[in-house]
Amino acid sequence: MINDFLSKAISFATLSFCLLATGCNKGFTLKIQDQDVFAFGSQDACNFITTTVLANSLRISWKTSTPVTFIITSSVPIEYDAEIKAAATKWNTTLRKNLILVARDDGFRNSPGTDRANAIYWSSDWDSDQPSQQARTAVRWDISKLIDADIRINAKNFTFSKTDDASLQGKVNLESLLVHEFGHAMGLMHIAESSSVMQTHLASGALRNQPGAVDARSMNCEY
Amino acid sequence: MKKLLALFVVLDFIFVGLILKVISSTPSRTISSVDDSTYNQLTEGQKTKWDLVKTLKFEISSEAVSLITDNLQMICDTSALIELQFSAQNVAIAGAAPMVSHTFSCDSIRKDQAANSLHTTFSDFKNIQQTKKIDLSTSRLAGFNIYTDEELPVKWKLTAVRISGPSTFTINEFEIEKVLMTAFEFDLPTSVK
Repeated sequence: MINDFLSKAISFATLSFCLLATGCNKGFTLKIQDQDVFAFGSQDACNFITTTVLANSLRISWKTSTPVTFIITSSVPIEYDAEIKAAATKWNTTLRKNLILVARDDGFRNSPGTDRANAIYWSSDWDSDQPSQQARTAVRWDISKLIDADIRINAKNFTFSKTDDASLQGKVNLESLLVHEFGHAMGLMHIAESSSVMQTHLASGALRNQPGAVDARSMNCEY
Repeated sequence: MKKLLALFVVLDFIFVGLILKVISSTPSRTISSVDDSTYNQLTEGQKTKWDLVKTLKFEISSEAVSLITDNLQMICDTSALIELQFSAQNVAIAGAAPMVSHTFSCDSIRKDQAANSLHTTFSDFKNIQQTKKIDLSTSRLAGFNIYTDEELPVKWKLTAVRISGPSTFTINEFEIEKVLMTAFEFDLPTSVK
Protein backbone atom coordinates (compact mmCIF):
# COMPACT_ATOMS: atom_id res chain seq x y z
CA MET A 1 0.00 0.00 0.00
CA ILE A 2 2.85 2.30 0.84
CA ASN A 3 4.46 1.50 -2.50
CA ASP A 4 1.23 2.28 -4.31
CA PHE A 5 0.85 5.55 -2.46
CA LEU A 6 4.48 6.40 -3.04
CA SER A 7 4.23 5.77 -6.78
CA LYS A 8 1.11 7.97 -6.99
CA ALA A 9 2.90 10.71 -5.11
CA ILE A 10 5.90 10.48 -7.44
CA SER A 11 3.67 10.54 -10.55
CA PHE A 12 1.85 13.57 -9.24
CA ALA A 13 5.07 15.34 -8.42
CA THR A 14 6.50 14.51 -11.86
CA LEU A 15 3.38 15.77 -13.63
CA SER A 16 3.42 18.96 -11.57
CA PHE A 17 7.09 19.54 -12.33
CA CYS A 18 6.54 18.77 -16.00
CA LEU A 19 3.70 21.30 -16.23
CA LEU A 20 5.69 23.90 -14.37
CA ALA A 21 9.01 23.50 -16.16
CA THR A 22 8.26 22.62 -19.77
CA GLY A 23 4.63 23.06 -20.51
CA CYS A 24 4.46 19.35 -21.36
CA ASN A 25 3.18 19.24 -24.93
CA LYS A 26 1.60 15.82 -24.69
CA GLY A 27 -2.15 15.89 -24.44
CA PHE A 28 -2.49 19.51 -25.64
CA THR A 29 -3.58 20.47 -29.12
CA LEU A 30 -2.95 23.66 -31.05
CA LYS A 31 -6.60 24.08 -32.06
CA ILE A 32 -5.76 26.20 -35.07
CA GLN A 33 -8.17 25.84 -37.99
CA ASP A 34 -7.35 26.46 -41.62
CA GLN A 35 -9.48 29.61 -41.58
CA ASP A 36 -7.59 31.18 -38.68
CA VAL A 37 -5.73 33.60 -40.96
CA PHE A 38 -4.99 36.95 -39.38
CA ALA A 39 -2.88 38.68 -42.02
CA PHE A 40 -2.84 38.76 -45.81
CA GLY A 41 -1.82 41.00 -48.66
CA SER A 42 -3.31 44.47 -48.84
CA GLN A 43 -3.05 45.86 -52.38
CA ASP A 44 -5.46 44.56 -55.02
CA ALA A 45 -3.26 42.36 -57.18
CA CYS A 46 -5.17 43.21 -60.39
CA ASN A 47 -3.74 39.94 -61.75
CA PHE A 48 -0.22 41.32 -61.33
CA ILE A 49 2.68 39.48 -59.74
CA THR A 50 3.03 40.77 -56.20
CA THR A 51 5.77 41.03 -53.66
CA THR A 52 5.49 41.35 -49.90
CA VAL A 53 7.00 44.23 -48.00
CA LEU A 54 6.30 44.29 -44.25
CA ALA A 55 3.09 42.31 -44.52
CA ASN A 56 1.83 44.40 -47.45
CA SER A 57 1.62 43.03 -50.95
CA LEU A 58 2.71 45.34 -53.75
CA ARG A 59 2.18 44.92 -57.49
CA ILE A 60 5.24 44.32 -59.63
CA SER A 61 5.37 46.45 -62.77
CA TRP A 62 7.53 48.78 -64.82
CA LYS A 63 5.82 51.71 -63.03
CA THR A 64 6.48 54.84 -65.09
CA SER A 65 9.37 53.35 -67.08
CA THR A 66 7.38 52.81 -70.23
CA PRO A 67 7.47 52.15 -73.09
CA VAL A 68 9.39 48.94 -72.50
CA THR A 69 11.66 47.95 -75.37
CA PHE A 70 12.22 44.31 -76.34
CA ILE A 71 15.09 43.15 -78.52
CA ILE A 72 14.46 40.41 -81.04
CA THR A 73 17.74 38.51 -80.86
CA SER A 74 19.46 36.89 -83.81
CA SER A 75 18.24 33.48 -82.60
CA VAL A 76 14.71 34.34 -83.76
CA PRO A 77 14.04 33.63 -87.46
CA ILE A 78 13.51 37.00 -89.14
CA GLU A 79 10.31 35.77 -90.79
CA TYR A 80 8.60 35.97 -87.39
CA ASP A 81 9.45 39.61 -86.64
CA ALA A 82 6.12 40.84 -87.96
CA GLU A 83 4.24 38.44 -85.64
CA ILE A 84 6.15 39.63 -82.60
CA LYS A 85 5.64 43.29 -83.50
CA ALA A 86 1.95 42.67 -84.12
CA ALA A 87 1.64 41.19 -80.63
CA ALA A 88 3.14 44.31 -79.09
CA THR A 89 0.82 46.47 -81.19
CA LYS A 90 -2.21 44.51 -79.92
CA TRP A 91 -1.44 45.58 -76.37
CA ASN A 92 -0.66 49.17 -77.36
CA THR A 93 -3.90 49.63 -79.28
CA THR A 94 -5.97 47.92 -76.60
CA LEU A 95 -4.57 50.19 -73.90
CA ARG A 96 -4.25 53.23 -76.20
CA LYS A 97 -0.75 53.68 -74.87
CA ASN A 98 2.68 53.22 -76.32
CA LEU A 99 3.56 50.54 -73.80
CA ILE A 100 5.68 47.95 -75.66
CA LEU A 101 8.29 48.54 -78.36
CA VAL A 102 10.03 45.80 -80.33
CA ALA A 103 13.20 46.05 -82.40
CA ARG A 104 15.54 43.48 -83.91
CA ASP A 105 19.20 43.66 -82.89
CA ASP A 106 21.31 40.93 -84.46
CA GLY A 107 24.35 42.31 -82.66
CA PHE A 108 22.85 41.62 -79.24
CA ARG A 109 24.86 38.77 -77.72
CA ASN A 110 23.73 38.57 -74.06
CA SER A 111 22.34 35.31 -72.78
CA PRO A 112 19.06 35.42 -70.85
CA GLY A 113 19.66 36.73 -67.35
CA THR A 114 19.81 39.84 -65.22
CA ASP A 115 21.36 42.27 -67.69
CA ARG A 116 18.64 44.94 -67.63
CA ALA A 117 18.04 44.27 -71.30
CA ASN A 118 14.73 42.79 -72.42
CA ALA A 119 15.18 40.19 -75.10
CA ILE A 120 13.33 37.50 -77.04
CA TYR A 121 15.12 34.19 -77.67
CA TRP A 122 14.36 31.24 -79.92
CA SER A 123 15.34 28.19 -77.84
CA SER A 124 16.17 24.87 -79.41
CA ASP A 125 16.99 23.44 -75.96
CA TRP A 126 14.22 23.00 -73.41
CA ASP A 127 13.97 21.24 -70.05
CA SER A 128 12.79 17.70 -70.70
CA ASP A 129 10.25 17.86 -67.86
CA GLN A 130 8.51 20.85 -69.49
CA PRO A 131 7.79 19.66 -73.04
CA SER A 132 4.30 21.20 -73.08
CA GLN A 133 5.54 24.69 -72.23
CA GLN A 134 5.27 26.76 -75.42
CA ALA A 135 7.29 29.73 -74.18
CA ARG A 136 8.57 31.16 -70.92
CA THR A 137 9.00 34.71 -69.68
CA ALA A 138 11.32 35.49 -66.78
CA VAL A 139 11.00 38.88 -65.11
CA ARG A 140 13.21 40.36 -62.41
CA TRP A 141 12.54 43.34 -60.22
CA ASP A 142 13.96 45.62 -57.59
CA ILE A 143 11.60 46.20 -54.63
CA SER A 144 8.46 46.36 -56.79
CA LYS A 145 9.75 47.78 -60.06
CA LEU A 146 10.61 45.54 -62.99
CA ILE A 147 14.15 45.88 -64.28
CA ASP A 148 14.51 42.99 -66.70
CA ALA A 149 12.42 40.62 -68.82
CA ASP A 150 13.42 37.79 -71.12
CA ILE A 151 11.15 35.72 -73.32
CA ARG A 152 12.14 32.26 -74.55
CA ILE A 153 10.19 30.52 -77.26
CA ASN A 154 10.20 26.71 -77.21
CA ALA A 155 11.36 25.84 -80.69
CA LYS A 156 12.39 22.38 -79.58
CA ASN A 157 8.90 21.01 -79.02
CA PHE A 158 6.70 23.29 -81.16
CA THR A 159 6.33 24.71 -84.62
CA PHE A 160 4.74 28.12 -85.10
CA SER A 161 2.28 29.71 -87.44
CA LYS A 162 1.78 33.27 -88.62
CA THR A 163 -1.63 34.85 -88.24
CA ASP A 164 -2.17 35.16 -92.00
CA ASP A 165 -1.15 31.57 -92.74
CA ALA A 166 -3.75 29.67 -94.73
CA SER A 167 -4.03 27.12 -91.94
CA LEU A 168 -3.11 27.39 -88.29
CA GLN A 169 -3.76 23.71 -87.58
CA GLY A 170 -1.08 21.76 -85.74
CA LYS A 171 0.98 24.84 -84.98
CA VAL A 172 1.09 27.42 -82.20
CA ASN A 173 0.12 30.88 -83.39
CA LEU A 174 3.18 32.96 -82.59
CA GLU A 175 1.35 36.31 -82.37
CA SER A 176 -1.11 34.86 -79.81
CA LEU A 177 1.75 33.32 -77.87
CA LEU A 178 3.68 36.60 -77.79
CA VAL A 179 0.59 38.58 -76.70
CA HIS A 180 0.50 36.24 -73.69
CA GLU A 181 4.24 36.46 -73.02
CA PHE A 182 4.24 40.26 -73.29
CA GLY A 183 1.52 40.19 -70.63
CA HIS A 184 3.91 38.33 -68.33
CA ALA A 185 6.73 40.67 -69.29
CA MET A 186 4.62 43.62 -68.17
CA GLY A 187 3.93 41.91 -64.83
CA LEU A 188 0.75 39.88 -65.33
CA MET A 189 0.14 36.41 -63.94
CA HIS A 190 -1.98 33.61 -65.37
CA ILE A 191 -5.73 33.96 -65.00
CA ALA A 192 -8.52 31.41 -65.41
CA GLU A 193 -10.79 33.68 -67.46
CA SER A 194 -11.97 32.53 -70.87
CA SER A 195 -11.81 36.04 -72.36
CA SER A 196 -8.25 36.64 -71.17
CA VAL A 197 -5.07 36.21 -73.16
CA MET A 198 -3.43 35.29 -69.85
CA GLN A 199 -5.02 31.84 -69.64
CA THR A 200 -2.40 29.23 -68.90
CA HIS A 201 -2.75 27.17 -72.06
CA LEU A 202 -2.89 28.22 -75.70
CA ALA A 203 -4.34 25.41 -77.78
CA SER A 204 -2.48 24.41 -80.89
CA GLY A 205 -4.12 26.03 -83.91
CA ALA A 206 -6.01 28.57 -81.79
CA LEU A 207 -6.01 32.31 -82.45
CA ARG A 208 -6.07 34.31 -79.20
CA ASN A 209 -4.28 37.48 -80.16
CA GLN A 210 -6.64 40.14 -78.80
CA PRO A 211 -6.32 41.19 -75.13
CA GLY A 212 -9.72 41.04 -73.46
CA ALA A 213 -11.47 43.60 -71.29
CA VAL A 214 -10.25 41.77 -68.20
CA ASP A 215 -6.67 42.11 -69.44
CA ALA A 216 -7.12 45.82 -70.13
CA ARG A 217 -8.54 46.33 -66.64
CA SER A 218 -5.57 44.54 -65.15
CA MET A 219 -3.04 46.58 -67.11
CA ASN A 220 -4.83 49.83 -66.26
CA CYS A 221 -4.13 49.19 -62.58
CA GLU A 222 -0.48 49.93 -63.27
CA TYR A 223 -0.18 51.62 -66.67
CA MET B 1 2.54 2.89 8.65
CA LYS B 2 -0.32 5.33 9.27
CA LYS B 3 2.21 7.98 10.23
CA LEU B 4 4.06 7.42 6.98
CA LEU B 5 0.84 7.75 4.96
CA ALA B 6 -0.09 10.90 6.80
CA LEU B 7 3.35 12.29 6.07
CA PHE B 8 2.87 11.69 2.34
CA VAL B 9 -0.53 13.34 2.37
CA VAL B 10 0.90 16.40 4.09
CA LEU B 11 3.84 16.51 1.69
CA ASP B 12 1.49 16.26 -1.26
CA PHE B 13 -0.64 19.15 -0.02
CA ILE B 14 2.46 21.26 0.50
CA PHE B 15 3.72 20.44 -2.97
CA VAL B 16 0.38 21.26 -4.61
CA GLY B 17 0.21 24.48 -2.63
CA LEU B 18 3.66 25.49 -3.82
CA ILE B 19 2.75 24.76 -7.45
CA LEU B 20 -0.46 26.79 -7.25
CA LYS B 21 1.44 29.70 -5.73
CA VAL B 22 4.10 29.64 -8.45
CA ILE B 23 1.52 29.37 -11.24
CA SER B 24 -0.56 32.23 -9.88
CA SER B 25 2.47 34.53 -9.63
CA THR B 26 3.80 33.67 -13.15
CA PRO B 27 2.75 36.04 -15.96
CA SER B 28 0.49 34.46 -18.55
CA ARG B 29 2.34 32.70 -21.34
CA THR B 30 0.12 34.18 -24.03
CA ILE B 31 0.63 37.53 -25.61
CA SER B 32 -2.75 38.76 -24.34
CA SER B 33 -1.02 40.66 -21.58
CA VAL B 34 0.77 42.69 -24.23
CA ASP B 35 -0.89 45.93 -25.20
CA ASP B 36 -1.75 45.02 -28.77
CA SER B 37 -5.16 45.92 -30.07
CA THR B 38 -4.69 43.73 -33.15
CA TYR B 39 -4.12 40.70 -31.00
CA ASN B 40 -7.09 41.41 -28.77
CA GLN B 41 -9.40 41.49 -31.78
CA LEU B 42 -8.41 38.01 -32.92
CA THR B 43 -10.47 34.87 -32.43
CA GLU B 44 -9.18 32.20 -30.07
CA GLY B 45 -7.84 30.16 -33.00
CA GLN B 46 -6.08 33.19 -34.45
CA LYS B 47 -4.58 34.03 -31.05
CA THR B 48 -3.25 30.48 -30.73
CA LYS B 49 -1.75 30.79 -34.18
CA TRP B 50 -0.27 34.20 -33.36
CA ASP B 51 1.32 32.69 -30.25
CA LEU B 52 2.72 29.86 -32.34
CA VAL B 53 4.16 32.26 -34.94
CA LYS B 54 5.74 34.23 -32.11
CA THR B 55 7.81 31.16 -31.21
CA LEU B 56 9.27 30.84 -34.73
CA LYS B 57 12.91 31.67 -35.24
CA PHE B 58 14.82 31.61 -38.50
CA GLU B 59 18.55 31.00 -38.48
CA ILE B 60 20.96 31.23 -41.38
CA SER B 61 24.36 29.57 -41.27
CA SER B 62 26.97 29.17 -43.98
CA GLU B 63 25.46 25.82 -44.94
CA ALA B 64 21.75 25.87 -44.19
CA VAL B 65 18.66 27.73 -43.10
CA SER B 66 16.76 26.51 -40.06
CA LEU B 67 13.25 27.11 -38.83
CA ILE B 68 13.23 26.72 -35.07
CA THR B 69 10.31 26.45 -32.69
CA ASP B 70 9.97 24.91 -29.26
CA ASN B 71 6.49 23.87 -30.38
CA LEU B 72 7.69 21.50 -33.09
CA GLN B 73 6.70 18.41 -31.13
CA MET B 74 3.36 19.99 -30.26
CA ILE B 75 2.66 20.60 -33.95
CA CYS B 76 3.49 16.99 -34.73
CA ASP B 77 1.21 15.76 -31.96
CA THR B 78 -1.74 16.67 -34.18
CA SER B 79 -0.29 16.70 -37.70
CA ALA B 80 1.52 14.45 -40.15
CA LEU B 81 3.54 16.73 -42.41
CA ILE B 82 5.24 20.10 -42.17
CA GLU B 83 6.06 21.76 -45.47
CA LEU B 84 8.36 24.76 -45.69
CA GLN B 85 7.69 26.73 -48.81
CA PHE B 86 10.53 28.92 -50.03
CA SER B 87 9.83 31.40 -52.82
CA ALA B 88 12.34 33.27 -54.92
CA GLN B 89 12.31 37.01 -54.40
CA ASN B 90 12.62 39.55 -57.21
CA VAL B 91 12.08 36.92 -59.90
CA ALA B 92 9.01 35.46 -61.59
CA ILE B 93 8.86 32.96 -64.41
CA ALA B 94 5.61 32.62 -66.34
CA GLY B 95 4.04 34.96 -63.81
CA ALA B 96 4.96 32.97 -60.72
CA ALA B 97 7.92 32.87 -58.40
CA PRO B 98 10.27 29.88 -58.53
CA MET B 99 9.56 27.81 -55.45
CA VAL B 100 11.24 25.14 -53.38
CA SER B 101 9.11 22.99 -51.13
CA HIS B 102 10.73 21.05 -48.29
CA THR B 103 8.39 18.57 -46.61
CA PHE B 104 9.22 16.94 -43.30
CA SER B 105 7.52 13.87 -41.87
CA CYS B 106 6.17 14.22 -38.36
CA ASP B 107 6.88 10.52 -37.84
CA SER B 108 10.57 11.30 -38.08
CA ILE B 109 10.29 14.42 -35.95
CA ARG B 110 8.49 12.51 -33.20
CA LYS B 111 11.30 9.96 -33.06
CA ASP B 112 13.58 12.66 -31.68
CA GLN B 113 11.62 14.33 -28.91
CA ALA B 114 14.37 16.90 -28.50
CA ALA B 115 14.03 18.04 -32.12
CA ASN B 116 12.98 21.66 -32.36
CA SER B 117 14.25 22.72 -35.78
CA LEU B 118 13.87 22.01 -39.48
CA HIS B 119 16.94 22.41 -41.66
CA THR B 120 17.30 23.00 -45.38
CA THR B 121 20.83 22.95 -46.72
CA PHE B 122 22.04 25.32 -49.42
CA SER B 123 23.60 22.44 -51.35
CA ASP B 124 20.18 20.75 -51.63
CA PHE B 125 18.73 24.08 -52.65
CA LYS B 126 21.23 24.37 -55.49
CA ASN B 127 20.99 20.74 -56.55
CA ILE B 128 17.26 21.05 -56.99
CA GLN B 129 17.84 23.14 -60.13
CA GLN B 130 19.16 20.06 -61.91
CA THR B 131 17.27 17.26 -60.18
CA LYS B 132 13.92 19.03 -59.53
CA LYS B 133 13.31 16.54 -56.67
CA ILE B 134 15.49 15.27 -53.83
CA ASP B 135 14.54 12.48 -51.44
CA LEU B 136 16.34 12.66 -48.11
CA SER B 137 16.06 10.15 -45.28
CA THR B 138 13.43 12.09 -43.34
CA SER B 139 12.24 14.73 -45.78
CA ARG B 140 11.69 15.55 -49.43
CA LEU B 141 12.49 18.61 -51.54
CA ALA B 142 10.77 19.59 -54.75
CA GLY B 143 11.39 22.53 -57.04
CA PHE B 144 8.66 24.29 -58.98
CA ASN B 145 9.11 26.82 -61.75
CA ILE B 146 12.84 26.17 -61.62
CA TYR B 147 14.68 25.60 -64.88
CA THR B 148 18.11 24.32 -65.75
CA ASP B 149 18.65 27.09 -68.29
CA GLU B 150 17.54 29.99 -66.07
CA GLU B 151 19.68 31.68 -63.44
CA LEU B 152 18.99 30.08 -60.07
CA PRO B 153 17.55 32.98 -58.05
CA VAL B 154 19.79 34.22 -55.25
CA LYS B 155 17.24 35.88 -52.98
CA TRP B 156 14.73 33.61 -51.24
CA LYS B 157 12.11 33.87 -48.53
CA LEU B 158 10.20 31.39 -46.40
CA THR B 159 6.73 32.30 -47.63
CA ALA B 160 4.61 29.60 -46.03
CA VAL B 161 4.66 26.88 -43.43
CA ARG B 162 2.00 24.36 -44.40
CA ILE B 163 0.97 21.94 -41.67
CA SER B 164 -1.26 19.11 -42.75
CA GLY B 165 -3.34 16.26 -41.42
CA PRO B 166 -5.24 15.69 -39.15
CA SER B 167 -4.79 19.30 -37.99
CA THR B 168 -4.26 21.37 -41.13
CA PHE B 169 -3.38 25.04 -41.40
CA THR B 170 -0.91 27.36 -43.10
CA ILE B 171 1.21 30.12 -41.65
CA ASN B 172 1.68 32.62 -44.46
CA GLU B 173 4.42 35.20 -44.97
CA PHE B 174 2.09 38.05 -44.04
CA GLU B 175 1.39 36.46 -40.67
CA ILE B 176 5.09 35.91 -40.03
CA GLU B 177 5.89 39.51 -40.88
CA LYS B 178 2.95 40.90 -38.92
CA VAL B 179 3.86 39.06 -35.73
CA LEU B 180 7.63 39.14 -35.89
CA MET B 181 8.05 42.39 -37.85
CA THR B 182 10.66 40.69 -39.99
CA ALA B 183 10.75 38.44 -43.03
CA PHE B 184 12.47 35.07 -43.10
CA GLU B 185 14.71 35.96 -46.04
CA PHE B 186 18.12 34.74 -47.12
CA ASP B 187 20.60 34.83 -49.98
CA LEU B 188 21.97 31.63 -51.46
CA PRO B 189 25.74 31.74 -50.94
CA THR B 190 27.55 31.72 -54.24
CA SER B 191 30.32 29.52 -52.81
CA VAL B 192 28.09 26.51 -52.11
CA LYS B 193 28.05 23.87 -54.84
